[in-house]
Amino acid sequence: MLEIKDLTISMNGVEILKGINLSVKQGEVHAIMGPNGSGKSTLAKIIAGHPDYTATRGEILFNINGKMVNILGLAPEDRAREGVFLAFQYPVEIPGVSNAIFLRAAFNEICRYHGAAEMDPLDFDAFLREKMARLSMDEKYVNRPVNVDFSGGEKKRNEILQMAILNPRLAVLDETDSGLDVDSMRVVADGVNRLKSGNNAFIVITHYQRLLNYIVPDVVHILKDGRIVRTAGRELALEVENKGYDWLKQG
Amino acid sequence: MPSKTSTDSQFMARLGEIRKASETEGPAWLLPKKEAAWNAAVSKGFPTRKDDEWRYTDLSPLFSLPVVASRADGGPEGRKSGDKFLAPEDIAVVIANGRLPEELPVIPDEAKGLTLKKFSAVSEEEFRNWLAPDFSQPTDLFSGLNTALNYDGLWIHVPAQLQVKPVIHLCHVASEATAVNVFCPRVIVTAEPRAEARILMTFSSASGAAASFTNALTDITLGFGAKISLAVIQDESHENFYIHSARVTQHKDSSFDSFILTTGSRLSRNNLAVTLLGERAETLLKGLSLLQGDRRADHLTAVNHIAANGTSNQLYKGILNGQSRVVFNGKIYVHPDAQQTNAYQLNKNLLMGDHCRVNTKPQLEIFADDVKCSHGATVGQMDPNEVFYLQSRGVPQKTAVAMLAKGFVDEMFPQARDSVLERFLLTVNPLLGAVAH
Ligand SMILES: Nc1ncnc2c1ncn2[C@@H]1O[C@H](COP(=O)(O)OP(=O)(O)O)[C@@H](O)[C@H]1O
Ligand SMILES: [Mg+2]
Repeated sequence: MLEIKDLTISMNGVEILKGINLSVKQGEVHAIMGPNGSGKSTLAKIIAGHPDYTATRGEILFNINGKMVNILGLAPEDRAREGVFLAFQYPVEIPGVSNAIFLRAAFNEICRYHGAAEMDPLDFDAFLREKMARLSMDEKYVNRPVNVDFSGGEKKRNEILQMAILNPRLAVLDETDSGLDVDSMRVVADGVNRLKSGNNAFIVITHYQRLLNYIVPDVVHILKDGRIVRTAGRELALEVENKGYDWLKQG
Repeated sequence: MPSKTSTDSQFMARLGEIRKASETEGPAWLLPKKEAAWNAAVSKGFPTRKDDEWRYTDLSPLFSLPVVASRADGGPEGRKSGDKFLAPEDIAVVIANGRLPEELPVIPDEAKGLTLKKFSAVSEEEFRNWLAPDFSQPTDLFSGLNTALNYDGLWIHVPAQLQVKPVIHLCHVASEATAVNVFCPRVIVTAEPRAEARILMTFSSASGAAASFTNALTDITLGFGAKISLAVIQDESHENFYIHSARVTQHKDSSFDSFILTTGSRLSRNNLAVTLLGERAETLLKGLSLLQGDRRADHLTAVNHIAANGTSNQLYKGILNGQSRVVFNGKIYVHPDAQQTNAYQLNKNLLMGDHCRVNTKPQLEIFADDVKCSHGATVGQMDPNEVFYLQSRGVPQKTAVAMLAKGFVDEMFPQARDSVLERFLLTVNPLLGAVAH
């Protein structure tokens, strides 16, 4: 479903991703771990189409209607409509735009793109409240401006809420567990597990193996200094948790 | 026809011609005031850009305006053109082409006790009791010209304890098709202790109206514990010149709020001076400029804390595109006796084009030591991270930008929808789409 080939990004003449190769199949969960500054968020953001990053080499192929398409040429909104989702490490605050209005606009954009009927405000409200209840989110967050005056944990839950509503085919979760207590982490993991099916895939970026007790990865990658230096099964997560990253030599 | 290079003195001379038409109009108590105001104006002359308060706004295009005296009846057809802003439940006065209507509206039972009176019907005694202070305030040139050239003013008096539920709507319309007029509407609002009222002033042009120059003057006095809210919508044609000076005096425990919405014009100058004369007075001033093309808006606020424990909050925002330009000059003065004052000011501007400009200038003069005061200004493009966040959820870029612009504005309207807010949205919503692209 996702095939990243030799992806290389430079910022101000410095390479921050140095030839990433990554292949994710439908139904799989991939974990990416690595020290701070190794390029994890950059990888997540270029998949979603952040305008700051342009690839100097390589491609990101994504299955659209049975064909592998290089999505580097697609606008971020088109990637989202094709089913790419990024749960941001630092969710952005949007003053003056209520969560409900934003979510409905996003949901309906995607419906329209796929030729489905839009949901009217009342139905959407019920749909939204049900999803929020599952994530134990207080109803007061329905009409609050997006992420404004949300605690760190609520912002992360709000990301998972958006994921639950948009129902992506490929979700990239960038440190969604950082700063969460165990209960919140469990809520986040439940959100992912409930969505998980044979038709979608997840890339979970994390520092902690504990999240991976709840979201069980099929494959674990270690990203260090812009390179994937090791790929293995879930046991690799435990290993880096115990030994750190230093023993892994630069790719 | 005056040439393009018509000077300020030639313009003053044209105003002098217009004044002749009205110098003997009005009650006896007013005539000497008009005379004095005119003489003062002539000797003072127009401010220039060397004048601190006019540094960023050039008045010279105004001087080329071939103004003539307006029709005495205001042009009856003009009274219909303010329709967009009129709501049936308002206590509405349509001020067409600067002229008050023959008959002022009947006060509904629920507002019994409220007085609406033309200056021409105000007695010498009422003048002494209620209006005299406003005529003895120091004036700038344009306030002086307003007094000198005003045909008839409006006095709104809210007696003690009365809460006026309907909106008092002063609906100004410019509708002359060819004649270029100068309008000098004057309103004086006096609110007795614990009186409450909402005043909406709209300024619009009928379609196809010729350019005009609106030079409005509004005085508001709030007695002990009174609450007045003032909403101003200036949504005139691009060709218009508009100067509105509002002067507010607040006594103890009173609370004033204002919201000025402007779409700009050749000149749109909004002077707002609030004096917190009594203790524990509160004031909240908001302004929103939505500007496109080469429109201009200029806001000058002056909040004067004279007594202790007062609170003032100023929030002015602008969204600009094209070559538009906004000026915000916000003054806060805190008198040595005004201890425990809280005075805040924030000016935020969103630039949607590459050629728009903002001049923002806070001016703080604080002479008390136990004071909380802050000011801030932001001028910038839309945050690309915000746009990307919305796009990453499937919202197309253009829609994302429009949503963010609307959010920037909606933040200013935290209150529930009411009939005044509806009127704001009538102007804001269509324009927001235009300004945000
Ligand atoms: N927009 C940017 N401009 C310049 N440098 C950047 C930018 N984004 C990321 N970097 C640099 O790229 C490296 C990787 O950053 P990031 O992807 O955020 O790492 P991680 O998420 O693994 O902590 C860091 O050295 C960071 O400073
Ligand atoms: Mg990161």
